[in-house]
Amino acid sequence: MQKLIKNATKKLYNFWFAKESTLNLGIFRIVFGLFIFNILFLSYFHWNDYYGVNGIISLERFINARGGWFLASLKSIFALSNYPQFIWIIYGLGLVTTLCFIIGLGTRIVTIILYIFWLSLCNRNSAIIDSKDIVIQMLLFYSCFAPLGNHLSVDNIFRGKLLRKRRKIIHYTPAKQSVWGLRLLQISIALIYPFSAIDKLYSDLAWREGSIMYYISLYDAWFRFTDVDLLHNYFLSIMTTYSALILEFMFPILVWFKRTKYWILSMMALFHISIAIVMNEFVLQFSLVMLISYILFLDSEAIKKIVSKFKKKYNFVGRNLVIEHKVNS
Amino acid sequence: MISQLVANKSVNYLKKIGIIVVIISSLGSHLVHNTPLKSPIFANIFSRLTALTAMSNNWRMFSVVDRFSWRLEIVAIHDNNKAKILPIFTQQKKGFFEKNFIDFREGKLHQNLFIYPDARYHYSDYLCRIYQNETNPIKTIRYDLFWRQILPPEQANIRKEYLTEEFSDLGKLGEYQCKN
Repeated sequence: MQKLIKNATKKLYNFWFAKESTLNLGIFRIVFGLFIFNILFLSYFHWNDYYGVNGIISLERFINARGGWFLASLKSIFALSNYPQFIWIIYGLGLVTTLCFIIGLGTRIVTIILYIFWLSLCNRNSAIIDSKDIVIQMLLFYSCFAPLGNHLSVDNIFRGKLLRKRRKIIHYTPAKQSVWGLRLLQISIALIYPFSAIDKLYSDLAWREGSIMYYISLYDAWFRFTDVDLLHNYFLSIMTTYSALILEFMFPILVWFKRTKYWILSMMALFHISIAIVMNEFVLQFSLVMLISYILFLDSEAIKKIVSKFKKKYNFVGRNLVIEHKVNS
Repeated sequence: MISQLVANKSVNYLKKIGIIVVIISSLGSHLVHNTPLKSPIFANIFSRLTALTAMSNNWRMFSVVDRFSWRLEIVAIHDNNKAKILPIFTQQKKGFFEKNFIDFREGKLHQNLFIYPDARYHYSDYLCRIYQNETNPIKTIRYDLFWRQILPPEQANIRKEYLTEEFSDLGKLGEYQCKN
């Protein structure tokens, strides 16, 4: 019994604090940053309507609702000034911060600034906030704790140069890092699905009967192809409803085991791609951010192996990664 | 000074304690808002953190689906009592790129206007400001709901149609006075 407890404690400790390569976090940072940049770029056209002094929720109303200027400023940096051009300064700040996040320049500080920026966006106009914004906010919050700039970053290049100079190292490889920050990111994504599945079973009879997809397929506000007869088929509805529920329940279990991880990730990727195709435009971005979050579950060693295979076959520009892989193995 | 602090083991212990606090409070915040642990005590403990992490939201994702398909029409009623449908949402014809990418937030806004009276209140104020003109000022913004019931699969099978005819509820979602 004592041995069992000791083993369990050791496994739990390793799960949270083992040191691993952070290559997957580096890739996640770049792709996630590009996604945020894409949202910011597309938001340019409605920036004034959404966040302006006289936008959908006027600044005056926002400040009054939050109990005054000071409390409103704590919730959103948009409340700091009522100068109409101020929102464009914030927009510029958002773009520059996102670019620094993508290239990994001053990563930790930039992540914190980006998180404050995103929190401000979400708080300023709640009428346009959807699940995608909430997932981004959550990922940015946990990113503040994770070593996102340890790989594939300008920070890492500087660190490497400095170490080579001081310690006369020929090949610098980023040190392995404790995984607790990564685990927080992974768990926060993995838990979304079972929580949502439980709520579905509890909230709507149609989820239990298997008819929910039938209703969704006829719901104009969500579904793109309400005119396609085949998609209203009841048997298809039963199949898709129960598949969605099974996937949502299985994901947080299967994603932790090497044998099942890539299978469940592929299934979930297919699931989100189908949602992005059949559901309306505002669900597309949610599916994209969920797909991006799956990078967090990829094994860094597996990524390195794939890169080194590419390198061997196509003389791919992954020289540093191959060296690192050889050193580690 | 910093290297001395790092070498000091007590700093490492403090760091580990800090990390464990972050982990426990993160997991706690997930559980509090999505399980029957929704008691006021737990909510108070984690409320600060959940507001920061955005975990104060329940993960629902299409948990409840209406049994009717609906659309909104937003009508401006002028001082001379003439009503004019404002060119918003479905009334606009848009290209693929504009609809799917530039206006990617409009769908959610449309949804929120249907669900939340607060959103309609703020949005009406916005519409009053942008569509106001001096010659014929807007007096009221009215929300008209048009809906078709989605027939249950068995009934749809018998009636050979999925939806009923369209019903309208003019002003069902309220009228909001413009502050001129």
